Amino acid sequence: MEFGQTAAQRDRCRTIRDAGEYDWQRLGELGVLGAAIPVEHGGRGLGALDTALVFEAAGYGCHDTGLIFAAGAHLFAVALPIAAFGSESQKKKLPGLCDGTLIGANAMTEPDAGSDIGALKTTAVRNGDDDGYVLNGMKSFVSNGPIADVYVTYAVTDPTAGHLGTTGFVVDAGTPGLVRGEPFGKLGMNGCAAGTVEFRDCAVPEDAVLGNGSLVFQHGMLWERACLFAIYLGVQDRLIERCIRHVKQRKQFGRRLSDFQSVSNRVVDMRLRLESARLLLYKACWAIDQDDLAVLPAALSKLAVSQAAVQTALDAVELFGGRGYQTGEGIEEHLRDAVGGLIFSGTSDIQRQLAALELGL
Amino acid sequence: MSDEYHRDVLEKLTELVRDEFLDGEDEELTATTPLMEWGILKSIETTRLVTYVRTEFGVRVPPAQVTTENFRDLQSIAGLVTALRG
Repeated sequence: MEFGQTAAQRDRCRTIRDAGEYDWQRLGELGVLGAAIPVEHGGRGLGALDTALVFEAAGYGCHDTGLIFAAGAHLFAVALPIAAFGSESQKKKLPGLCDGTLIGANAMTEPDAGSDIGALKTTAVRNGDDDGYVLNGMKSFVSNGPIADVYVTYAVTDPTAGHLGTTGFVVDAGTPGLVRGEPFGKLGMNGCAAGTVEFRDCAVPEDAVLGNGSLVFQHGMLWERACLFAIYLGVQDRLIERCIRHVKQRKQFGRRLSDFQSVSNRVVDMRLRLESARLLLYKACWAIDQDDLAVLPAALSKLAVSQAAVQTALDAVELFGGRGYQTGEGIEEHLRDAVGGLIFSGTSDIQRQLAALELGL
Repeated sequence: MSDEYHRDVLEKLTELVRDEFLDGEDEELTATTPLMEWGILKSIETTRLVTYVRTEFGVRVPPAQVTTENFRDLQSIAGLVTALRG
């Protein structure tokens, strides 16, 4: 699978559509966008482990990691929750989400609430005598937000019930009162547009209700922490291959770089980190597929993969030297793309907090 | 038997919440302390509690059962675990 523009070709494009609608549709054709969605709704019906393998392959084959990340956010935080919790009418959106006709965005993060769904400020109040709700609030960081067709969002419906007093909603772009911002400039993942989404007296029908916000969110996050991070396995695989080619070709002091033990040891350590992280990720996905306890394995996997991605990208920059530092070579972008992995789907600190609680600490 | 099981579950859940979520400071914790309202059960504590129920009692709590009614207090959670055990 070879597609997606290189960093030089992209010229810092900010949206999937800028990057080339063709690539998004290609992800649909390849089955990436609907990998874990049941076949009857237009997906491939894969389990967590098989879905992770699809994303790992996409991470390996696509030059634009941000594009694949956009696909992951679309699948795990929008299409999958709709498939798992949605009404029959909501599920009618799934074929379009699977084939690339539609783009999904998860509008959860707020200025005062990242992983803590109990701290949301966005409210959903019953719409007078009519059926439905009126949404008000600001979502501060929404991947795919500036260009999405379908949003899954979360709001407080019962302020006395903590995180269980939140409700998930499915809201279409174009709904009056849904105001989306321009794409942010950000460190990496530039193939995935991110921006604000604000709800200003945004009236939605009763059928927009997806389910209990906490349950919907936790479900999507578990899959995201496990499967989406497989992208970074594929990216690291590709990067290590490039590094090996490079250190075998480049000579310094009359010797190939690979003949210097400090260089070859560095490459071995890159591979060791990748293979260790891969096993953790596969274990987490396996636990999801077996309906086994998956919170701890998913937290450990997310930690290991995201940290390995940053270190491997940093190692690659060092191995390529000045060329690795220059933007034209396509090495430094991996470092910029990897940093986001320490943050989204719950920061490394959140993963450690989850793991510590699971260990009874 | 069911009453005895319910008491045992309630005792162990109280111990979990007191020791792990409240750092042993349990002066006001009772079977009817409103866990959500008082902010004792936030999302990650709820996740931990569901894991604990599965490992300690072998009871799987279906997502649909994680509701404000069932998780209102320790008594209601113990009732849910007892009911799910069948």
